[in-house]
Amino acid sequence: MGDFNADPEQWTKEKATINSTKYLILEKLKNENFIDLQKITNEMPLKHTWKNNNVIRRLDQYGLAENGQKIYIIAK
Amino acid sequence: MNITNNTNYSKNNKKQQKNIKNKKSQKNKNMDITYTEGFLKIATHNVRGFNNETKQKLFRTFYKEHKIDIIGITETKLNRNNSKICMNNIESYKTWWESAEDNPMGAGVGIMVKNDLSKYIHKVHKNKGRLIAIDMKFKGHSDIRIINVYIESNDAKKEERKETVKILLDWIHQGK
Repeated sequence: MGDFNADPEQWTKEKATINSTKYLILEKLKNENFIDLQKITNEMPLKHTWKNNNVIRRLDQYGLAENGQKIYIIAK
Repeated sequence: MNITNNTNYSKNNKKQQKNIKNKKSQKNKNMDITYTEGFLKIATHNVRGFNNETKQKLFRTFYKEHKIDIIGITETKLNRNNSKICMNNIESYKTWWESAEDNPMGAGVGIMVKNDLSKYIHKVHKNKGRLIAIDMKFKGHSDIRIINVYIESNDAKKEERKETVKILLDWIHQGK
């Protein structure tokens, strides 16, 4: 968990075009089969965690390792 | 008739009392959801600087009110000296802090764990003001590693960002 400084929704939009280490953490956690807890326990659209002028982002996240799936978690 | 009524009353009264008792017990249960009942309430909080004592005081009240068991704190901007005294007068929590020696203003992470839970921590890992993790051992359960990370936001620090992610992955693999 923590401040990943990378918005997963933005990553989906930009990943075809951007060549940066900005989304490296999301890429690696995805490869490790980590689960985005906010995504699976909340209704869409997900709430943002950071705001600057008109820009809103979900930069702070919780990831759960796949061997931790037995734990029931509510991420708000 | 009266007797029947009385019996019914008595039965109903007992039923009502039982319902009230159940409701009270349910209410208490809902209010006290903590690790003792199989739940761990975990939060991550980007504090955008934690040097201000008033801010610390506000958060102290917030965490206590929400009965959060483990809190990961990011962007503390604390230097090593300040982190030694940060939240040190908070009752019911044990705290660990990690600061960046070279540039504390752009980094800083911490973990706060309820006192009763802290006895289950057998190791704390720290790295360069960006990563902090705790390993917890619960009797009869799998070990848990909780990692709190603050990734570099500045694109000019690509190499540092890569290094942070690399260490994070190492810690994940160790914890598996």
